[in-house]
Amino acid sequence: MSKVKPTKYDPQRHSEVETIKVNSNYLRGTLEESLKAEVTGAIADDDQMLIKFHGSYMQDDRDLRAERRKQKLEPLYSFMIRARLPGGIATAEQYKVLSDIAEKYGHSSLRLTTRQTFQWHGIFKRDLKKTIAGINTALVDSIAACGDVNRNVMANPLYETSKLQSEVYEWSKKISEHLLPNTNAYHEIWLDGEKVETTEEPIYGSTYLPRKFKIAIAVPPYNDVDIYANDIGLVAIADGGKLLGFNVLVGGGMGSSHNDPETYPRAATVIGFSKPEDTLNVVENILKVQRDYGNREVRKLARLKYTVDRLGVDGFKETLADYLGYQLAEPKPFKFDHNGDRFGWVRTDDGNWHLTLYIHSGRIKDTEESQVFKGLRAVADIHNGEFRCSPNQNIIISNVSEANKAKVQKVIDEHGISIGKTETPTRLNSLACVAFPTCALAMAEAERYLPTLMDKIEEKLEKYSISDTPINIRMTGCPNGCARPYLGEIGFVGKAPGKYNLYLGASHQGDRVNKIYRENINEEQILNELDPIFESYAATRKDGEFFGDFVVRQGYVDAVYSGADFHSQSPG
Amino acid sequence: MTAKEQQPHWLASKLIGDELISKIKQLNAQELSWLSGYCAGLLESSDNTGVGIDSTKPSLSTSVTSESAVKPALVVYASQTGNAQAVAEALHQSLSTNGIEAVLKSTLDIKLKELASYSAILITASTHGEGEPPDDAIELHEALISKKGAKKRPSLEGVKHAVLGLGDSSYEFFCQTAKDFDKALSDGGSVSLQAPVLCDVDYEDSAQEWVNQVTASLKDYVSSLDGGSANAAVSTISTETDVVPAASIYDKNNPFTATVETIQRITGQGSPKETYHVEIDLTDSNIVYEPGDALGIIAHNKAELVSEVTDLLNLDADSTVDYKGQGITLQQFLTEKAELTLVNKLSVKTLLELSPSDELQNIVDSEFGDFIEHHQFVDVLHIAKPTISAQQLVELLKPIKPRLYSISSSLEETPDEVHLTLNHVVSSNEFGQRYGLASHFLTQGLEEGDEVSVFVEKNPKFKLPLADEPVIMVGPGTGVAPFRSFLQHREALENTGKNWLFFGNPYFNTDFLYQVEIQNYLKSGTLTKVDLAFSRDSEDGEKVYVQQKLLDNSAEVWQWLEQGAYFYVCGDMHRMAKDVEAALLTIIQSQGGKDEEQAKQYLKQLKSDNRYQRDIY
Repeated sequence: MSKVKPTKYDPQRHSEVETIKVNSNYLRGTLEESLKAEVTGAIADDDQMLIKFHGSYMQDDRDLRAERRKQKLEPLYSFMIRARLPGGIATAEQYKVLSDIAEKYGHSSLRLTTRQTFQWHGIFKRDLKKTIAGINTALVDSIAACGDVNRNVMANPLYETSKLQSEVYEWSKKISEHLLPNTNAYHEIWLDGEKVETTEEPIYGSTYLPRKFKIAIAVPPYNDVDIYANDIGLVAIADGGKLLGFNVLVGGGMGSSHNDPETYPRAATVIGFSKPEDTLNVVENILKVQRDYGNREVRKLARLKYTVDRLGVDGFKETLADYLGYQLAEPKPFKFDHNGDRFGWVRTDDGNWHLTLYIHSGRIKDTEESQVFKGLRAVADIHNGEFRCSPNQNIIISNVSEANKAKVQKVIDEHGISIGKTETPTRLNSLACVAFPTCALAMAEAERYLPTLMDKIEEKLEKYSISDTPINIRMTGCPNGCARPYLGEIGFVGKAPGKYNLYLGASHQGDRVNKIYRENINEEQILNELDPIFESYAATRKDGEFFGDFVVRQGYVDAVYSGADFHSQSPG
Repeated sequence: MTAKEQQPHWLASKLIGDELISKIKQLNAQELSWLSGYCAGLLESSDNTGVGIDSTKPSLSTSVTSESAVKPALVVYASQTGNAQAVAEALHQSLSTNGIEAVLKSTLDIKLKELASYSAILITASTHGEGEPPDDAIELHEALISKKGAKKRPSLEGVKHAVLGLGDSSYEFFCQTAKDFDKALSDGGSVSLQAPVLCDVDYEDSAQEWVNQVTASLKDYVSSLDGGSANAAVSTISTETDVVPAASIYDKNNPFTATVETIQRITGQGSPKETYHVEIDLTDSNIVYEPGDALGIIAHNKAELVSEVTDLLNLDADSTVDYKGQGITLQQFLTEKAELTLVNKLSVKTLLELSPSDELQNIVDSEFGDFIEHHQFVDVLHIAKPTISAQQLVELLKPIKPRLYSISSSLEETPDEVHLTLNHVVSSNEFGQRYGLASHFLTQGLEEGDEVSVFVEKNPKFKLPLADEPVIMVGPGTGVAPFRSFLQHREALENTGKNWLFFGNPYFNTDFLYQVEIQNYLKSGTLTKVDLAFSRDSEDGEKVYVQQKLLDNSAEVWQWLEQGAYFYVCGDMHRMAKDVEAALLTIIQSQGGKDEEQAKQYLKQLKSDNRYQRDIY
């Protein structure tokens, strides 16, 4: 096998985005001019790519697009801002600031993401700088929260052994900070920082990474971070409360394009074990291999998962060993048995309490039934612990003392916030991306529609008396994978308004992706397809057999272990 | 013969009288030379009997000489992700390489009317979702396939076309947009060079093949034209079907019955303002207007208002009354002839004589001025509860007045249309909701396709200067209307004078009237500068208006004035126009180093030089 060569920046062959990065003067572009342009709520085209590196996306209200076109108005542009919050932890004091900013500029709404952080939506350009500066007063930033760089680093938000929990959390912070871009652009543009010339990016170089890059840390037996969906997964190996090191996984990722066999979701591969003190060195060098070998010509083939498959897992390990100067040790055995949040109160070994709330689609926003936004802000006033974001768009009020527990519970009750005790386990395990109206990529509804579909799916589960078994259901409005649809035991991926591809057969633990079962079907067809499978599941499942495993065993779909499997014809 | 020599009386009566001659006298050498060529062209293409009737109306930018060159081909892309655009670019490149003149455009930049001016139309189009066109193609697609579009679509006889579709065959409506375009072009009389090529997700190879095929067949086609004798398809670029307009014979007593083409609210959801853009078709009217002119609308009273009047007076709407010697129903009289939305003092006095009312008398004596601001004739009836006959009502009411709106379009841009920009006027008083007569009639009472009676009201006091003079326009709210006309005119005629617009309204998000057009004028350079004042967007509650923006730009405003800029104001008379004038005086004082009196003198001079013009109401 011929060895794959590293790529050098080549404007002739490389994608346009690469040129934008190179010419951006280390992510500055013309953002300052764009912010000043009063005739538009948008920013210049190139700046739209660059602003992602600053943790923000430009979006527009797609519900209004056609109408405003007729009104001779430009689309209603606004910006999403995503905080960088390693491990998903904010103190109560920080939460107050983040919430107040949302009240002022973000329509009194915060959104919890599937990567353990907060997003503000619908910020207008004229408020963008004020919002980011406001967030900064809580000592929170949004640097590299999006863009072709290492994104927010995830970590298990809740583990019974509090010392291990905090050790793992510290690692998420260290990794996040170690991999921050070096450029001063963020401070100059958003915080009126002194202008300092950037001459180099020691880790990234001037073209940064070929594509986004995601790192997560899991502590077995909990896989709530969906470790297999990350470019780098670190599985904490501990002996009692002592951290021995991390198993290292590479090449996970969700995105794919409809009907494009070159693209596929991929569960990450275990490639070795690393001692704690080598952690930063290992992740930095994996990132550098991707920097040098990743595909910079075709963005949809640029994620690390394709680099790993192109080099081959062994080839990748060899290349990494060249960069590191040593081979990784053999991986240690580990086992996950839980993927999802543990709702309600949990007590850790230090005697503190933690309350996991069920936040529907991660929207911290007041509705008639539930005053989530006001309620959490009220909790922050009486709480001196933390707010932890779960990887499933829920929130944990963390480190509540025994004395304060009843008070917190009272505020939660008064505001009608769910602690996940009344919903079916399947609903609690359901996940949807934002999609319409703000996401530019959406082809179909997700967050706004999933609850309606869940009502109907729950009727079926009830009909066959299988409501008490959790089934992971994921829905996204496009194939890019934000809500990790390919790790759903049932996955819905939008194709067009009202039409979805139906995927089946991911494992419940999240280490096997699913496979397409039906293409381009509407709600009625979805329910008609699922009904007989639920019926058969109720009648013939083995003891403790999860739905995803059942459909594979029964041959509805083949199990997917590689990218090639994902697209091969299913017998179903 | 030059314009100075003689003025045959038939020409004066046929055209616009002295106005035309005075206009001609203002032209510079280059413009005069163009005009003489234009007239010569008219003469040549007619046989002297009906000059101007069957001839052409070229714009300044096109040549009137009869060239025999082949029209260029149009390569147009309807692209969402850039793939269709890339194929179009490849085709454009390929055509150029093969010596075929072609123009490359996005569907966004295509006007229906221009389609006929190409020898061939080559479209690449992607399809999304359930058969939907890309965002940038929505309008053209709708315009081409709608019934209304079919009516407006120019004849495409003699045009060739080819279509490439990009899509995903797993969708039900595979490449629908491409199919739609192909059908619409064929329906319009165009002949397809080849059947549409519909590509699936792996489109690259088929697209390249299409590029090659189209290039080859177009090359054959063009060489066949060059070789053969001149035929229909080889006509000159300047052949448009527009007729040189003769003088309009329409006025308020003899309005033209036009068709309303578009009634579109242009303030976004959540706006406090109900601003509408109305397009009226003037085809076959020969109506001529200029930027700055107004359109008169003969409106009808709404049915609910008419029945409110008859109910209050206990009169039968179907009864016949004598109106100027003719018998018509009271219903018709109140709907079409009577002014009901204004309060006339004489009418009220007559009413009081016929049927006394202390309460009404009291209002007339003490607060009438205030009263008429917020009330209509029907409110007078609510107060006085009079008893009068139908005929007495006919006698006392004043005839309905036409309403005038500043025209917001230019004939140079839309030859058969007139556009208006107006607020739907709604208010309420103690008796209920009250509506402005014409604004309600136009925006709520009519539907697209309905007829409306219109005439042009000239406004010689509000006119653009010569092509190279700089212009400052202050037009907040619907005051922007005439400036849209100015900009259309100046862009279409490629005027070189600088243009600076001051615009304001409550909210940026919803109330930036003609935002996209203004952005395009900035892009094209027609607009040199824009300053915006959105009064309700400020965080500290301090409202910023256009006059503040003028003051913020004092030095530059002064510089423009000293360079001879013409200063225009349109909109609210009571506050805005006064505040703007005050700001202007401040600028003249502070920047020109003048005292108050000298500043007033300076402004007076501007006025007498026609450099300070206002259209305020």
